[in-house]
Amino acid sequence: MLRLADDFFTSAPMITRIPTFGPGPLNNLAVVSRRHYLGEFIGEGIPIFWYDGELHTITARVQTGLDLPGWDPAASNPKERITHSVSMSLVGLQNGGDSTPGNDEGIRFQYSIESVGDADVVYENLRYWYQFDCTFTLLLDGPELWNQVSPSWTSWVSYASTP
Amino acid sequence: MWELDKRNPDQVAYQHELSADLGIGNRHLLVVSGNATPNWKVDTDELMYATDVVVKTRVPADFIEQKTLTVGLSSIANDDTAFTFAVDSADAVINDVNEIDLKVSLALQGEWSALNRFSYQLVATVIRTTSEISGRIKWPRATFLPDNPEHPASYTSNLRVTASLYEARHVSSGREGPDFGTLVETITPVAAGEIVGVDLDPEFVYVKYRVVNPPKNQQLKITVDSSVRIVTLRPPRSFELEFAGVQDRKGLIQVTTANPNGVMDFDWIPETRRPR
Repeated sequence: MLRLADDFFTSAPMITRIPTFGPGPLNNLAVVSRRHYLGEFIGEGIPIFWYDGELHTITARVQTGLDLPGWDPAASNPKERITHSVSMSLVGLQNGGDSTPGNDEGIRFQYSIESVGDADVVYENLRYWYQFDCTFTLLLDGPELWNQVSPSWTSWVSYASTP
Repeated sequence: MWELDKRNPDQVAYQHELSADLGIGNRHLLVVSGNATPNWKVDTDELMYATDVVVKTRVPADFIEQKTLTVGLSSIANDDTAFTFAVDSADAVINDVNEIDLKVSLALQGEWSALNRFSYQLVATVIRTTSEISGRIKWPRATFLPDNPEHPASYTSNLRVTASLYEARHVSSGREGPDFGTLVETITPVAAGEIVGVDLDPEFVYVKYRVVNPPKNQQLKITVDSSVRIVTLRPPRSFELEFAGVQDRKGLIQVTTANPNGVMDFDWIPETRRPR
């Protein structure tokens, strides 16, 4: 159910969107009390970007449907009743090295997860979605190089059902 | 050993906390996620460096019953050399002021390499005795009375209650200097209070406040700051009400796991009695 918003990779022109963005499932849904739920989401994304020696900032939006027990967002403003705690880290790094003839060394790189935003709830396509924005900065020094970085996240979502 | 403090955004870029009351014996389920910023850089690929880091999450807890802790790299850089980036171990412990610290071991190699940030997520069940400092703030109603005086919200823009860590030390360095022996007091704000109730009698206003979960086992200074604007005066005039703690003139108080509740009342100081 986890998905990325359509504009995920559009903010950096050198980014090539690839279909291997592999969001994970909803895990370990726990009912903490009768009206308080915790859900855990795990996901991983793999953007590929191309050399140009520039520092790129990428804004990603992670989004998943709120098909959760007891969830009745129509009862009140859902944004007021949802909070989250997100850890995001790098789990896979790969670079293609320097293809300049005679040079078999690596390249200068920088991979950073910069920020994770607050939990948000939106209503789209006749359903409610939980989402948050995050930003990465990525740098790769060329020429003719390619890199791959796999940010992963664990998102614990807390919400209260309708009394 | 480096310390990275959640209160310093240059040391902990962000931290999100979830807490759910499990309803049994002060047990809570905590999820604490964040991004710590050691900004560690080395400049040789012939030697691997290792260091330990303590992340001070400032999350109050008295005892950890169960825990899982994951850490991961979140910002690394290398300048075209052999490299190693590692987060080798991590643990969560309760420190001496009953807050959760994360102890993390890092390793780094490269010419140059930088391990700028790592992320963490602690999922734990803890026992947490909620501490609270409360009291009332008293002044003559002739001095100041807002619109809707019976509602606590009417006072929130005029009164600011703050709990701060209090440290006092005598200057012992610079034996020849003029400051030798001088008492230096330092206060660091750690928790904000909230206005929770109001009582009115014909003479006085009594506002009730509370500070929830201030740090335990530390001397705290409670302060009440006010900024009041009287619009009935011509022209409208702003001034400050000054308050002093009743139990302790310095406004100092300490809460512990055994005694988690403290009381500190404040009285208005008339202008004629204020120190010059």
